[in-house]
Amino acid sequence: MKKSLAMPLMLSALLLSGCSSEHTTSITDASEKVMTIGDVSVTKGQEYDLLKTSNGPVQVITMAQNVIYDKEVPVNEEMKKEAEDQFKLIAENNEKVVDQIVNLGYKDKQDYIDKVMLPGVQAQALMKKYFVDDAETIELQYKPSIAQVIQCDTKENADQALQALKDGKSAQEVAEQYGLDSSSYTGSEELVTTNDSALPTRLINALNSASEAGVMPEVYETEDSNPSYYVAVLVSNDYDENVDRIADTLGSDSSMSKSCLVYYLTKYDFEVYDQELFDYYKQNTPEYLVTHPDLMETAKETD
Amino acid sequence: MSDLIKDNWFVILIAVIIIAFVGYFVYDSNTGKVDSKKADGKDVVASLADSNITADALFENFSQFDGALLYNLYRNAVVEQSVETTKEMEEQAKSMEKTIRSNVSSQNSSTYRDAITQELASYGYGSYDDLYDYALMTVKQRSLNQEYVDAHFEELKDSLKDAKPRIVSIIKMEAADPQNLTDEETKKRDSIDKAIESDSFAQAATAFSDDAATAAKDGLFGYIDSSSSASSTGLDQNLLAKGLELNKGETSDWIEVKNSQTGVISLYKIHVDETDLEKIHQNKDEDVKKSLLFSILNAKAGLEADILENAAKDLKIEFEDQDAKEKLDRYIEQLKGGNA
Repeated sequence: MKKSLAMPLMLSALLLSGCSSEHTTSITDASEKVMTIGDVSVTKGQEYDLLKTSNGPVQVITMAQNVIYDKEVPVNEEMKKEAEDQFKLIAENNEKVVDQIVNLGYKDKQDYIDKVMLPGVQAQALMKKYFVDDAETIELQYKPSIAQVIQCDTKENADQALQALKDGKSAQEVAEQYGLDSSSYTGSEELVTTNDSALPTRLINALNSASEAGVMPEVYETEDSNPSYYVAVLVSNDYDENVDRIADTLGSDSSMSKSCLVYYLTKYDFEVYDQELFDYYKQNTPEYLVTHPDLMETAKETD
Repeated sequence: MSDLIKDNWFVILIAVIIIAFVGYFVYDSNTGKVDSKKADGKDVVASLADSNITADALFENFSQFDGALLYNLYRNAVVEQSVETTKEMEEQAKSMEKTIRSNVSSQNSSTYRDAITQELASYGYGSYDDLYDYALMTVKQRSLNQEYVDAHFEELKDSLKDAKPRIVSIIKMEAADPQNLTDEETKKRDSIDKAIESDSFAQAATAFSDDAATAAKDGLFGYIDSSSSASSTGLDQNLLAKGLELNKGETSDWIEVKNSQTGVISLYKIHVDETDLEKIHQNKDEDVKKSLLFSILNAKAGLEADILENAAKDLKIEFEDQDAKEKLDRYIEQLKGGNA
């Protein structure tokens, strides 16, 4: 009996040895002293641990972004010039800027340009590229189209506006005659997306899926107790043709920066090897843990 | 084979149960655990594409901007070794720790706890469990600052000479509609006015004020000066302005004050008890002492750093890393210039 149980117990011991302890990272010269005050010594390792806890989550993502920038939108002469120009603009308005950046810890003006201004220029370029690289997702989510939209306060006015458009009158003329004065939808050409929360969802979907440009065939009504009525002329819903305009408009959307980052973290298999940082991301930004789809799903659910 | 199973079925069952149990335990304890990775002998923090972000590279990036952390570590060590811990300090630190922990609990969010942990790390404390140590350090530093300011008050008081320093008292009278007082409210207001005139503001406050906290201290609100704000003192902006306008011994008219949280309007009077800095400094009230100390530390850029440097003279200080010394010196210079 004792002999028979020996094998499973050994197997169990082997399995238990597979339990990993929590892995946190350390620097090479962790035990080197930085300063000694009385009987208290501070080592580089202690300093690293504190900096990792206070700034690590942000800093690691910043460093990952720099890797992505170099892969996707490497620095070119044009970017360098833009970064220089941006710095000049700051310096024109603030004579003490160089002193201030040195006080912050940067070596000099060039160090600041390289570490702050250039990545900023690269970030803008990456955002534009993202609208091309992840076009399918963006189109599906935002349903962008260029259109002239007119808001009317009654169904009757909207019907008349639709007829006038069909008769060939310009959208501006129709808006002046039948549109709601206080509305921001006055027949001007504009980008329509799902961010336009005032517009009926049916209108946004219809504009995005229409097979050809022209007057939209019906009046679109909001589904609330005090409905508004919309008519529209589709100018274009060709994503590729309008991508620059879409990027300019949606690029400033705060959620877009995160989507862009997550897209490229996923593309390049971003993986974390420090338990403390992993736990922080898991709790605060699980969408960055792109190699753990179960955690990313949690993030989507709580968004 | 089948005979073997028949003969040992119970042992096999136990073995299968043990292995299944241990297997699940191993799986569960490894869920959410990260793998370790090394590149050229260095710990890798994260990787993407063909690039590794090593702990060394991360530290190099950090350490360029670590002046504030070095200063905080230096401060913690100097304060810890320069001020002897008393029972009273321990009580104050426990109370401070309790308040912060209770705020964290009431938020019921580990995100908030993470934010406190990050904040503590930037002050030089490694984990949320070090909250008490941080609280004790702040109590001890206040004691260090107080001792220095008391000893150097003659030279430091000039920094407040144009700041209209003063101790003020208040009386609060609640009224349903301050514009249309009821007979009873009018009677109470007149009684307060009469008591201020015939007795003293302090006696009137004790007898009539609807603000329990100040009424219990003869109406004493505390120290204010021209740098005080409604948010830093909790005193309404109009009362604050009137308090700075009056001379010693003067009392304001009734002032309507709207509670920003409840929207309830009450009537207040403010009285200036003292404007002489020497006498203010000698006041024994803890709140007055704290507010005066806070004002002096704010009025003279870098005073707190000076006090630390003064205390550090008694300790042997050695910088094994000269870069760290330069960064610390630069940070202290910024504090003294008021730019940090």
